Amino acid sequence: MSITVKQIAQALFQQSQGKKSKEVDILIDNAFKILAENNLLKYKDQLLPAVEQVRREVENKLLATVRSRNKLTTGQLKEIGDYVESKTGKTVELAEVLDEGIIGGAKVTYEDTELDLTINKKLKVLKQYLQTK
Amino acid sequence: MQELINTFHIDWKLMTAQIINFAIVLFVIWKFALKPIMKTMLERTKTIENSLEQAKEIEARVARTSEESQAKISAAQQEATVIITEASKTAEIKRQQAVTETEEKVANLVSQAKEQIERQKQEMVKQAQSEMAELVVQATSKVLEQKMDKATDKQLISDVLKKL
Repeated sequence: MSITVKQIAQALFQQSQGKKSKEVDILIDNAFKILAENNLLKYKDQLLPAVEQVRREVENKLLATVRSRNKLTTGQLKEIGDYVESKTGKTVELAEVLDEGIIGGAKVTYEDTELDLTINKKLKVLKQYLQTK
Repeated sequence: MQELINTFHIDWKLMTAQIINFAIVLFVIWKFALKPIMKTMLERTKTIENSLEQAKEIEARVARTSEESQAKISAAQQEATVIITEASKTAEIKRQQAVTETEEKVANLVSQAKEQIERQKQEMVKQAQSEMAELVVQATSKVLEQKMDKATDKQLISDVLKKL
């Protein structure tokens, strides 16, 4: 029976509860050894995000990613966080990503939801309208 | 009577002898000439009559044969006429079928060609629309990228967040 990255992440999170920094480092080393033993080293970059995801699930939190061309103000980020919390009922952790591909506006993604408020999306809709007109 | 005998010098003996001679001659002629001739004549008459009857019978037979032949010829002609008529009808039906099939094929080809032309036309229009849309969007993107500064972007985000 093969072990998954998520299972290793869950084990690592549970074992690291209440541990000191050095002890946590040892646990992380052990987790990478388990990855290597199970030929899962190619997923090593997914381990810590998976631990973070486990932590959020335990704490009933969710990660929302906000993409925009320019950095958003604190007030705008709070508005977005409040909106997502009102929709999901979970405490939101926002990750802000600057994306040069976005002309203007912002795109919010959380869980399986994407909230596209960008100019790019409006242009895409315009293009579809012109093509089907 | 005696006067008559004296006038013509009739000699009864001689006359009797002549009568007997005549009778003998007559008998001989009848026996050996007239009887065979009569017999031969009767046979010839019968033969001729038979020939005539046979000729009539042959003539009648020929007539019957001729009528039968004429009837057969007429029947054959009628049959031939029927066959020719049927053949003509069949040929006409086949010709009509061939014409109809050809017309249908031509109509189908024309219809398919029209449909193909219409499809190509629609595809061209669609492609032109797509290209035009692409150009419009690209041009708009370029303009917006140039015009969109931080303040405008900030205002835009604030506006859309208010609509949430």
